[in-house]
Amino acid sequence: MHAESAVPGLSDCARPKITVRGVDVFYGGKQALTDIDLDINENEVTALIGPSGCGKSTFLRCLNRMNETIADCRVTGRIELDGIDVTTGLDVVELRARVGMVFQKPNPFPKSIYDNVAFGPRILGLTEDRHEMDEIVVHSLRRAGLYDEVKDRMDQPGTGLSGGQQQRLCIARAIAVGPEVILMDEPCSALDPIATARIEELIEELRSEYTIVIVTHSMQQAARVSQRTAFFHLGVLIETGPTAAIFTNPENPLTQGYITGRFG
Amino acid sequence: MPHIVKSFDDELTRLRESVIAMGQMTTAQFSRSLDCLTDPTDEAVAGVIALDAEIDRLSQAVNEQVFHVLALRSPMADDLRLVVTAMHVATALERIGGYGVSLARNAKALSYPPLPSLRSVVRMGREVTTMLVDVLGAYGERDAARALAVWKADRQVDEAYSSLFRETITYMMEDPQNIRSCSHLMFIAKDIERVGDHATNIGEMVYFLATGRPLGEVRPKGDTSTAAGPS
Repeated sequence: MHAESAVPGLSDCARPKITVRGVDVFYGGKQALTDIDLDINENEVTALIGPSGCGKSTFLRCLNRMNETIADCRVTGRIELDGIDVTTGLDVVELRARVGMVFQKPNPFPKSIYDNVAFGPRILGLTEDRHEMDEIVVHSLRRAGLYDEVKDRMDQPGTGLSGGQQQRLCIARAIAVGPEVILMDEPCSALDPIATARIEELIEELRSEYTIVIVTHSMQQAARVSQRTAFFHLGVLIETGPTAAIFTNPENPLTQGYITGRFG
Repeated sequence: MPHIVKSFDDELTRLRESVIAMGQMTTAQFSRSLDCLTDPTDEAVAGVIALDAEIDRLSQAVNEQVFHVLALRSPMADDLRLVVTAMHVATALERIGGYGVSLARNAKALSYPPLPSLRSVVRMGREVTTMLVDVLGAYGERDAARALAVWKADRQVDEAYSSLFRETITYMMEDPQNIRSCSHLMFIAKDIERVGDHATNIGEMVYFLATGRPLGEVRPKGDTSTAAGPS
């Protein structure tokens, strides 16, 4: 393995926020993930890459138990958030408040911009009064880099924003409940390059406060935004390491073949 | 394993072939500049200078190909190493071409009959030519072991240079008439020694290209001419 402390962008004292050990996932009789071990470090961006169907989105969805919404999906093994088992030690509502998610297609609720962001804090009962809620909404929109663009039309529908703005609204919505981890499943695949750059800049900014896990099909995006990259292939975690090492000198020929465009 | 996009493979192959062609031309030019040491005709020197212009042109072509691939293909991993290494190797070869010209020009200033040291200089030049041939072969084959051998061989060239330095000083002390010719001989020897250093640098790049790891340890230097020289 590579000397990790020497890699720029990687904190010297990286602490695992999420630890995954021996995780298998089955959809009915079909095994989608096999014996995954991975540490996701605090205040780092971890990129999950691999060809379609390799299990990276399945893996992401294990982290906040989103796979439980799929009827015949079965997850075994151990996933811990700050040392607490996410399945047995945490209530799913609490887990998803601590581990937020942003999806591939921006999916704002058919409500106003304000209500989109206020929705989570409201159902979780995070605020005492309107003033407190205003603060959360403004803070979240600011953190998502959207506030200046929408401050004069908070009562307009969120669905009326551009694609890039909608995605930042979804990030603001995720931030509003005060998560510790943000999962992003191809958050830029429906966006143009400028909107993508905004999201990538935002990811870099958010890293200081949150732990981020991003699934991306864009190798360049993984290289640009992440400190650590994990490569999945046919449901197996083939290689993980500092992003710079993975993209300049991967150890496994499968990783090399995939990132250089020789298969996939 | 070939790339899914075949034209990317074609571009990388072309780039690699351009570097190899440039290497062959540089080796030929360096060899002809060594010939000038024993037969410094105007024609021979002009031939070396003409080849240098051609080497510069090839270097420019390699750089253009490198920019093209970087900008349009975003190469990764071994592809990225191939592209970046191509640029570095081309720069080293371009510098070697410059030393070839300097060497051939200095050859015109040597005395006749030649000093006995000239034989040592020519021998040193041939050793460096072998290094160049080997390191370019290693580049073509991505052969880390061969690149490492060249890297280690530079020590002998450095030692030969140091010993030549002492020998030449002796001639100068014997007869001040020798000073001019001896000085030119030292310039030539220094140029050859520098070409050896560039061949060694190429060896380091080939090692990195092949393995993805830099040659970590400090190269053993055999050149003690600085210590032997007047302080």
